[in-house]
Amino acid sequence: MEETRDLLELKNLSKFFPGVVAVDDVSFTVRSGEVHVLIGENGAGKSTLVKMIAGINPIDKGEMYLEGDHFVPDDVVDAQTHGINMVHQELSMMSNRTVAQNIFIGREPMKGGLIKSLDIKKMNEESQKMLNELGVKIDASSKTSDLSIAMQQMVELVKATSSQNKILILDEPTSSLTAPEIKSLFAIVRKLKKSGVGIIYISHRMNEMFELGDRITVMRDGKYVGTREVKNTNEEEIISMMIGRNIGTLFDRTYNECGEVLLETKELTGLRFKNVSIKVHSGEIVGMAGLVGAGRTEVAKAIFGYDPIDSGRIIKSGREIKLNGHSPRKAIDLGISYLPEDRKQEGLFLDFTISDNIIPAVLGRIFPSGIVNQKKQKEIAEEYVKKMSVATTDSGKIVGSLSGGNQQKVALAKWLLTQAEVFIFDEPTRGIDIGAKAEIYALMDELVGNGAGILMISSEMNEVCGLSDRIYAMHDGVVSGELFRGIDDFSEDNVLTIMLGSGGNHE
Amino acid sequence: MNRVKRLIKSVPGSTWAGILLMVFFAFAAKGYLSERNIMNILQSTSALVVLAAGMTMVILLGEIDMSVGGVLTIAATVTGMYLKLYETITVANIMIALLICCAIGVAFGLLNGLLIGYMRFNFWLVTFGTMSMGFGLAKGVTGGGVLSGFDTMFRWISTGRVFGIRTCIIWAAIICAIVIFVNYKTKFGLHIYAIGDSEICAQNSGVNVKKTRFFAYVLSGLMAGLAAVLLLARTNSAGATLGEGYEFNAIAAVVIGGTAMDGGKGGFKGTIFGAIFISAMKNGLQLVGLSNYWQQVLLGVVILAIILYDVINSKIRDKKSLRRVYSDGI
Repeated sequence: MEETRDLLELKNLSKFFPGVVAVDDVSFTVRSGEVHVLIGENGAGKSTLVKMIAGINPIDKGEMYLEGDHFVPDDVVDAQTHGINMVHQELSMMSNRTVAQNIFIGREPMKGGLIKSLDIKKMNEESQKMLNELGVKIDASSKTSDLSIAMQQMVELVKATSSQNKILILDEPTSSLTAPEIKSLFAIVRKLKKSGVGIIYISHRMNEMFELGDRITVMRDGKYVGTREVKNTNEEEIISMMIGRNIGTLFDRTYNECGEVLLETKELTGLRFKNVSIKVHSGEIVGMAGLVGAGRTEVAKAIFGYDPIDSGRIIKSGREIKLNGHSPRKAIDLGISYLPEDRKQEGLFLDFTISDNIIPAVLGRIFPSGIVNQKKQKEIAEEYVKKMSVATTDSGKIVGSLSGGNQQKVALAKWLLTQAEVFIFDEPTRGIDIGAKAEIYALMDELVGNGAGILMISSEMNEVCGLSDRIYAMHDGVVSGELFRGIDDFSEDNVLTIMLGSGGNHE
Repeated sequence: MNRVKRLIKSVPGSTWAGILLMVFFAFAAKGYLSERNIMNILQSTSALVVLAAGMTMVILLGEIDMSVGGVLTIAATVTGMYLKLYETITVANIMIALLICCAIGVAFGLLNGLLIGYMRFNFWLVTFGTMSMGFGLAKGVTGGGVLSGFDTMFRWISTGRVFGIRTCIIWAAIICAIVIFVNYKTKFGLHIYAIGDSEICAQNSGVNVKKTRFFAYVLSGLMAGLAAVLLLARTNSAGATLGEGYEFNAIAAVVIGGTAMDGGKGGFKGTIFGAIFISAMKNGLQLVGLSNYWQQVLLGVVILAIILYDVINSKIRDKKSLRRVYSDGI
């Protein structure tokens, strides 16, 4: 490896959003030819920080130095022309365009003199060259929507490296990839590293950062916690830096005797899952681990009557129920509730008040006449606002103005009000701060203590391993393993192995 | 057998409808496929296809320009009034008339583009507003009356003949060729697709979303102005009802041509087909003696049928490809 030097220096960067300091006085440096892992819990401000570096979020305070020169990007294009590129966490491809057009969007090659036209041939040729150089076997002229998610991810990577590159930011690039795909991604990252690019790599996976990273910087609650050389640190140190407290207290559970089977699926098969047979007992939290796209959410939505099923049975408290994609309403009435993973799109009416967000699932039950009694609604809402300790006492506040954690509490309150027996929680703590997390964990513990059953879908391994009584691992639409607390190895590594489909110790 | 099946399924609903239409009218309407009648169809397509060219750009963005009919009307009306000022018309007058017509179109396009592209107002509200302004102004300046009987030199723009082909068809063909270039071969065209496909992605890739959106509306306005010239010269009359319903026909042409209403998919080549389709259908129905009103109803039915066919077809396809992706192990 060539001699490394400081490439990018961040000095006291801050970013303020209404009511929150998303990034608070962060300083560190990125060297050339290093993979600098940025880690922290969801909501720690990593994504906001890198978006500032990439020119997407304007910098509110602080300075940036690129190769020693003062540089604050005006916008994305400015950052790109200075060699700072970013691959986003969510795929943002134009699915109806070709691979080449995606790679060259924003700086298309032109031909002709007075009247310039797109040089599609050059675009295809150069894209193909870049794809080949990085060993990605894709035809540059193929339509993007025809590629698998993994391949699209590779295209994004090629796109980010296509302009002159000094700093490359990768925001959780492996979150939807399988093990072999991750390998080929790593190979590309190593190639880029060798060529002297400084890589900022956001990840949640411990093994990844120790395999690929040179240095690790930890962020917590928007603040810089510290930077460690990979060879001088270990997992325990990084985790304690991330969490800032003992994991044991965070996942404090009172384990209950399991009761009757509340929910059972038998050989449930739908569009993205096959032969899924699971059980949820009264008094237990069942974790569901798996990669994005493994089919967990699809199973949940099928149980909730949102998506159709092709075959198989759903049994609630001993009685078969037939919803088949027709009626979440019926599911709610039968005592099943589902907290969707994306609270902003699916879980909440962001422009409505807290009170109007809490009540909808039970409107008919509380007001059978169909006429809404505003006063009663307000009373109920306020009771739940208090119960959930939402950071405001005013149930008339607009939900969109609350912080992520408080929004999630409101979304949860809606389902508590249905007094369901089975709660399906899809990523219940995504993107919320540690305090709210602890409260939600405590609430889940209380719910199962009162005899409910919880099916928790989560991509946060520590959550799944720390909280569950039992874990189902899903891989490519099938349940690839089942683990029991106290019997099986509940370590993150073991669960990860099973959910990646590379063999399980319990089938 | 399977290949035949796949081939049949790959043909969009509009093409089937077009084939059926041709066959039906070839038998039902005498002289439908005669050279003269085909020229007739193309003539009545000329203004529509130009109008639909601008509409294609806006729909590719995932939006709609409802104002084009109103803009066409006011542009044609003011131009008509200008021409009526003179006893005899010179070439210079015609140039000025063209300029007026296009300038009015562009002015409305600028307004739409400014409000929607730069100030991010809702496109429905803005273009409904400018549509109302267009029709209203036309009524106001004419007092509700109709202007007609323009100079033959001006009317040559649409009714002249070059190599035996009506000039309006030639102009429309030239404009179509330019728009095809803009649509498929320029940065602007590609960026319109990009925004319609994924605005966030376009923005993050450094596409100037505001500017691109702005110019799409300006182009749509300009096309309305050009369509106004062709229509004015062809029909030899102008008034507040000249462009009535044209926005709907333009949208219909775009949709029949296979451009998706949510943007990012399709293109102007399909729109040309869609515009000819509409004219051909109206012409055929006229020949078999169906009134204007019933033509309107049938056009609606045909559009719904085409969309239904394509939606069902693509749903089946999507489901299959999803299964394929899934069985590949995602």
